[in-house]
Amino acid sequence: MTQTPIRARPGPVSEAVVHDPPDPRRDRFEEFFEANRDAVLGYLLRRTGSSHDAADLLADTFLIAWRRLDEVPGGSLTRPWLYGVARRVLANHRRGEGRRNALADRLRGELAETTQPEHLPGDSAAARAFRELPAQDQELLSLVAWEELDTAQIATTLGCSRNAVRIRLHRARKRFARLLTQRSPATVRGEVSHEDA
Amino acid sequence: MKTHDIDAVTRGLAPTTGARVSQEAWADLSDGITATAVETPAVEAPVVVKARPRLVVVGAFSLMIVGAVAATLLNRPGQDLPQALSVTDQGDWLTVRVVDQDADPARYNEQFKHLGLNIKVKMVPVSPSLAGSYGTFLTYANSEGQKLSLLEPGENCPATLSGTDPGCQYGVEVDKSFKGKAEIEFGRAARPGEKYAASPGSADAPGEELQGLVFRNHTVDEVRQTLESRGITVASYLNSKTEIVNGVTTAKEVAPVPGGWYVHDAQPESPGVVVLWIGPAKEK
Repeated sequence: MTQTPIRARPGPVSEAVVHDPPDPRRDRFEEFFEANRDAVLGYLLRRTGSSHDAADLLADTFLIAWRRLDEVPGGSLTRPWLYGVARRVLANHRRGEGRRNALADRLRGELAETTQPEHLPGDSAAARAFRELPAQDQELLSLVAWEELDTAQIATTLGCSRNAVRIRLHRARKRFARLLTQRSPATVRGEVSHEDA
Repeated sequence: MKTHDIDAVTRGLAPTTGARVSQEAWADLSDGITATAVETPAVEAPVVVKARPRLVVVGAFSLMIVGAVAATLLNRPGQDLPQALSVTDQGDWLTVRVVDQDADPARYNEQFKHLGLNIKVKMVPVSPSLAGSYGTFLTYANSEGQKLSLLEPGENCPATLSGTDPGCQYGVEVDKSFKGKAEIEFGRAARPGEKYAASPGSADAPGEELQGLVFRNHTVDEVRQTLESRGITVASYLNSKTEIVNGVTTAKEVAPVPGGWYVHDAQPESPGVVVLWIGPAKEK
């Protein structure tokens, strides 16, 4: 039997020795892991539509964060930074890389039991309009509305300037508004049927 | 339409996730992660982020979060044009389009260099469904002038050109003020024997070689026959049950291969070659 490291995985690494005495690195990791794990899981679940994949990608994301602990920003930028990592892990996953992460075995099992099949936005006019948007617009709008990030946080997630985020977001909203108003307003929900964009 | 209305519509489109995870499972994962060694060479992904000295915190994390954007691209132009790239001056930025997919990448790089831009283009072999439709780029930290984006065929073309015109194929838009370093990869059809740099996860994805083939949860012996009839060979048989070895998720190659095991998935490897993920039981 030979062993083949899976593509797109970190490593190889030297022998891991775990010491129980005070470990500030581990404390720091555990602190932001606990504070952000549900949010990152939500991010991944909303974008993969598969609890199996989300579990693996979550493990990959936090494994990278652990390995790059010194680069993880504090405060309000921790979560968007993690989204940025998750985003990249997700992009690799979509390109067909990465496989089951054994670290996520238990998590995967539990998610499979408790997670309802993904309820993707249905076939409403708004959902169709949203799907017609360029991927970049969808990403920006969802970072605002689903992850509730502000401009500075999105800039951290996407690794670009705040100004770029502002401009792109403005355009994305405009494009979405245009697509929505091109459709029969009756099929779009009431609160969005007036126009001033 | 007002901004908050637009955001409200988007909010209403969020897929629901009803995940519940026990404390134990979270602790299990956290323990597993922190039990792995910290200092490792960065070999995380084909998104190549080279190790460089960290400058400031901001630079450090923008180094890591690189732009990886997939663009939908059309088929190759197949034209013999004198230049590998076409460059259009748009004022503050340049539109650079690939006009010859088969040109030596050195020619692209030469042209970028000529423009004073440190941008490297690589054509990477990809699986059939991604050929001509795969593009990623990454910018390095402390790059100034953030504007660098991929263009789809037909996007931002002069009015009379469309995505099928050679001068209007995929490309990039780049700020003239771009001061840093960037790498761009475009996918081209892999040649026999070339390993795919990118492919969908499964070999039966639309446009892939096993599209339409039924193999999941069939025995290795059955699948082998089916593949043979299609002229597909198997590079390796990997056990679906992966293990952590020194902190690395590791798949074990199964040898000898029990013909009665079940095939869980097939992964594109190179033209006419797949990797099979197998296990002793059917996969749910």
